Amino acid sequence: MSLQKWSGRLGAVAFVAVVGWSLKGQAPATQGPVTFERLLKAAQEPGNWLMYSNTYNSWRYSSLNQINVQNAKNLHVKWLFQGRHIEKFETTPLVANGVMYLTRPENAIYALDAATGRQLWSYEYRNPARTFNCCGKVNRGLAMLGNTLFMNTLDMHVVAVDARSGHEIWKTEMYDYTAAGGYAAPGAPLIVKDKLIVGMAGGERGVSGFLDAYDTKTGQRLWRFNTIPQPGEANFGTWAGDSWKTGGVTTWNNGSYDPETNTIFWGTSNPWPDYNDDFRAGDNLYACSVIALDPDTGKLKWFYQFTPHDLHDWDSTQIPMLLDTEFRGEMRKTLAWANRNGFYYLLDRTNGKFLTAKAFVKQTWNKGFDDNGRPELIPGQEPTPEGNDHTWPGVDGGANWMSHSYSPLTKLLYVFAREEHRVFSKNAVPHPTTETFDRPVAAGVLPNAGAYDPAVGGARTQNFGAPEESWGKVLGIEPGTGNIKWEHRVLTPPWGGVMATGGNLVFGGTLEGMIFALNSTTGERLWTFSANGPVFASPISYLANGKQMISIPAGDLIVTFGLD
Amino acid sequence: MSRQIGFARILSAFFAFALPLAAQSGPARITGSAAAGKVVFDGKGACGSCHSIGDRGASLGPDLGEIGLSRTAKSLRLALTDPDAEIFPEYYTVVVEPKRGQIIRGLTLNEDDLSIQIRDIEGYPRSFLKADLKSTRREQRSLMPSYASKLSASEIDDVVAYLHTLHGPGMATGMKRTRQPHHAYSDIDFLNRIGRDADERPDSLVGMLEIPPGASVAEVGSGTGYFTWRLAQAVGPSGKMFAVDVQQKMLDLAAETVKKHGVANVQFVLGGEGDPHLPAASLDLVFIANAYHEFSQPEAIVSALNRALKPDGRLVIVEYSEAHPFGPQDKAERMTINQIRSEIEPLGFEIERVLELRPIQHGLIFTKRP
Repeated sequence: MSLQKWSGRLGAVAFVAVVGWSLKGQAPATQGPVTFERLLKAAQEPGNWLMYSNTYNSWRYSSLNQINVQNAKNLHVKWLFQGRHIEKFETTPLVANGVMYLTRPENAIYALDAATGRQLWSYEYRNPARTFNCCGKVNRGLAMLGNTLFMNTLDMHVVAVDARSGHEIWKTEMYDYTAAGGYAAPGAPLIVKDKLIVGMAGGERGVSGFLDAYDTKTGQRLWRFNTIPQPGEANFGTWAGDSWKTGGVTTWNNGSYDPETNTIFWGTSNPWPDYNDDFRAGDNLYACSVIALDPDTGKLKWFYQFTPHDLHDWDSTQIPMLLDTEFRGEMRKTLAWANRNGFYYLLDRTNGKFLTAKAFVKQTWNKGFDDNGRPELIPGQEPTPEGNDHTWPGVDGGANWMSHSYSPLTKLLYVFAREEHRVFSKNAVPHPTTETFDRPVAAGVLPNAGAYDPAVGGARTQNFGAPEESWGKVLGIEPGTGNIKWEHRVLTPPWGGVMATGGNLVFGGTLEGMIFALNSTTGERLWTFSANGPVFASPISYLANGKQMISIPAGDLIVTFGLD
Repeated sequence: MSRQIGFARILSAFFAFALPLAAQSGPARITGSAAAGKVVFDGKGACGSCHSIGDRGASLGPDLGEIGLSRTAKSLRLALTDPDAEIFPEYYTVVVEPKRGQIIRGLTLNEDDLSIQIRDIEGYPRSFLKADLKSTRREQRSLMPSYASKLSASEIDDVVAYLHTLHGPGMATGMKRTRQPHHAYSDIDFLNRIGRDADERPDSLVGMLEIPPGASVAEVGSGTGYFTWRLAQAVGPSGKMFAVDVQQKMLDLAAETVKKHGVANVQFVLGGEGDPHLPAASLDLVFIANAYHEFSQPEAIVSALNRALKPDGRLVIVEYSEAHPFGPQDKAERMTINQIRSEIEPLGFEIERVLELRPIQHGLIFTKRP
C-alpha cells in the first residue's frame, strides 16, 4: 500500500547539491545522522527542528534570535508549499541538515529544501478508502532517528522511510484498524533511545487504548502499555461492569521525555461513551490523565487524573511541558499542563504529586481541589438529553491538542486558549459490551469544529453570533502560580499552537488565517500576515543558509517567513 | 442565497444552536391578495431596493425567491411588522465607527482580527482596517425598517399573500432523474449511532409536523423504528400508524424499538420495491426520512403514496442536505431541495413548505395537487 515517488527533475545528485549548499555556515555538529545524542541535546542546535516539540522537554521554544522584537515588522514570505489537498495541514515539520520533512494528509511525506521549499522527494502511503479518524484525515508529523523518518498512519501502521530517498524501510501493523468502532493513528511519534513511542486514537469509537514502543531498526513491537488497566493489573476496577473493555482512553498526541529520571510523559483521552456514563460508573482510569512510564519497559511509574469520570470529552492529550520552576519559594522539577478542562496544573514530575491548579478560562464545573488534586464538582454540569448549554469550557475545551510553549527567557508559559461554551447532549447508547454496536459513529457524519471546508477556504470567521459567547486568547502564564501575566485576545477560539523564540517573540495563527508575532514579555502584537486559511497547527523555527526562518501551516499551505 | 451566507448560516446554526424555529410552526392564514401584494412590494414598499427575487433586485437582504417555502404566513407578517423579532445572526446589523468620519451600518461579510468586511445599506461591499476604527459592534436587530406604520393592515396582508406564493421556479413540468437510486440500507449500527439525536433532533422534527391526535400516518422506510415510535405517540391511541419497509429484518427491529417505548398502535407492513402496500385514500400523512434516496422505483412508490393519501393529505420527505459540510460523505445519501422537488412534484404533488432541520438535514412538506 505504499508508493515511492521521485520528483521528476530533482534526483539524488540535485538533492546532495542542494543540501550541501544550504548547509553552508552551520556548525558541523548539526550534520549527518540524527543520533539519540543529538536529540538529547537538540536545544544546542537551534538551526534544526529535530522532533515534534523541538526538544524533549516539549517547550516548543527556539533560541534563535535573528528575528526579534525590533525587526519582526520586516518579516515577509520566503516561500510557500502548496499541499494541493482538500484536507487541512495539522503537521509540525522537522528540519535536519537543511531539509524540511513534513507530512501532508492523508499519509504522505515530503522532503523539501528548507531554504526554498523546492521538493526533493515524496512518499505516499495509501490508506484504505474508509478509515476511522474522528476529525479529519490528518497527520501531525514525523519522528527522526539516524537517517530514518517514522510516521503513524490512519489505518494503524507505523512506517519507517529513508530520509535520503523516501524509500520505505519497514512497515508494522500496530492493531486491526477495523476492530471495535475503528482505530486510527494521526499523531506524531517520539524517539526515545532506540525506540519509537507511538500513540493511537479512537476515543469516540469504543476502542481500548494503549501506548506502544517499537524497535526503530526492525519495526518489532517491544512493549505495549494498556491505558485501561486489565484484570490483574493495578488500578483495575474503576469501570463498572465490562465497560473497561470499550472505554477508549487513547493516546493520540505526542509526549515528552525526561532523560534525568528516564521517564516518558504522555496524556490520555476521554473515556467512552463520551457524554453518557450510564454503563461506566467509577473514575475510569487512566482516562483524562497523564501517565509517566519507564521507556525501557513500558511500566507505569505514576499517573495523575485531571478529570476523574469525564463527561465532557475533555481529553488530556495536551503536550506535557517539563520545566523547573519556583513553587512556594522552592525550585521544583515540575510538569506544567494547561488542560482541556480549563485548568492550568502544576505537578511534581518526579512523583506526580499535585502542587497547584488555576483556571485559565471561564469554567463552571469545579469548586476547587483537595490535597491530592481531586476536583470538587459543581452539580448540574452533566450532558442532558435536551442539551446542556451552560457549561464552560465547551466540548473543544480551554486548550486542546495544539502546542503550548515555554520561554526560558521570560520564564512564561504561553497558551493559545479557547473561551467558549457549547451544547453537551446526552444520547441513548446501546450497552457498550453486550449490545451490537460496532460502528458507533459513521465516517464523515460527526460534526466537529475541526472540519475544514475547502470550498470557502475555512478562512471565514466562525464568530458571526455573539462575541461574548466565544473568543480566543494568547496567555502568558507564570508557571509556578498559574497567574496570568498578560492576555492577547483574538476574535475566534483557536486551533493553532504557539512557539516562543529567543527574539522575545511568540508566533501563532488564528482560525481566520492571521499569522502573528507577539512580544513575549508584554503580549503586544508586533507583526501580522493574512494567510486567509485556517491555522490548525503550531509554528517552528530553523536556520536556512544561516538565516532564521519561521514556518507555519495555514489551510493547505505551509508558509515560511524570513527577514531578507 | 450566496455560498458565503449559506456557510455562515451553517456555522451559526452549529455553533450558536439558537434558532428561530418557532417561525416555522403555526398554521398558514392567508387573507390578502397576492396580486395586490406584488404591486405594494414593487411600488410603495420598495422591497426590491434591498431584496432580490431570484435574479431580480438588490442583495442587501436575503433573497425572497423561495421565502414562501421556508416561512409561514405568521412568520412573514412578523418579519414585516417587527423585523428584529426573528433574525439570523448573519443579518444582525453591524455598526462600524471610524476614528474619523461617519458611522456606517451594514451586514457582515467577513471579519478577522485585522479588518472587517461589510455590505453597506446601499449594497456596496466595503472593507475597514480595525486600526482605523474607533469601534465595531453588532446589534441584534435587522437593518430592515418596520412596515407596521408604513403600510396599512390590508396592504401587509396582501404582501404576506404575495410572499407566500414565492416558491422558486416551478418543478411541475418534470426533470429527468440523474440520481442513481441507492441500495437498501442495512447499516444498523449507523441507524443506532451515538449522536443521531443531535444530528436529527427527532422530537422537534415530529413536533413541527403538527400531527393531530387520531390521524392516520404511514412511515415508509421505517428502518429500526427511530421515528416510528415518535410518530405513533403523536397520533395517539385513537390514531393509526403504519410502518413500511422492504426489509423484514428492519421491520423486526422497528417492532422491538416500538415495544421498548411502550407504543402499541403500529401496524407493520412489508412493502414491495414498487408498492408500499397501503390502503387507498386513507392517510393524513406519509413520512419518509433518509430513505427516499434508496427507493429503486421512486415513481411507482410516490404515485402509490399519492393514491394512499386523503385529498388533503401531506407527504413529508426528509433527506441529508447536499450543501452541508458535515453530512454523509457519500453524495448518493444526500439530496438537494430542487432534486427532491423535481422528482415529487410531477407525480401529483405541490410543495407547501421547507423545514430547515439543522444541523444537517432538510424536510419538504408536499400536498396533493387538486
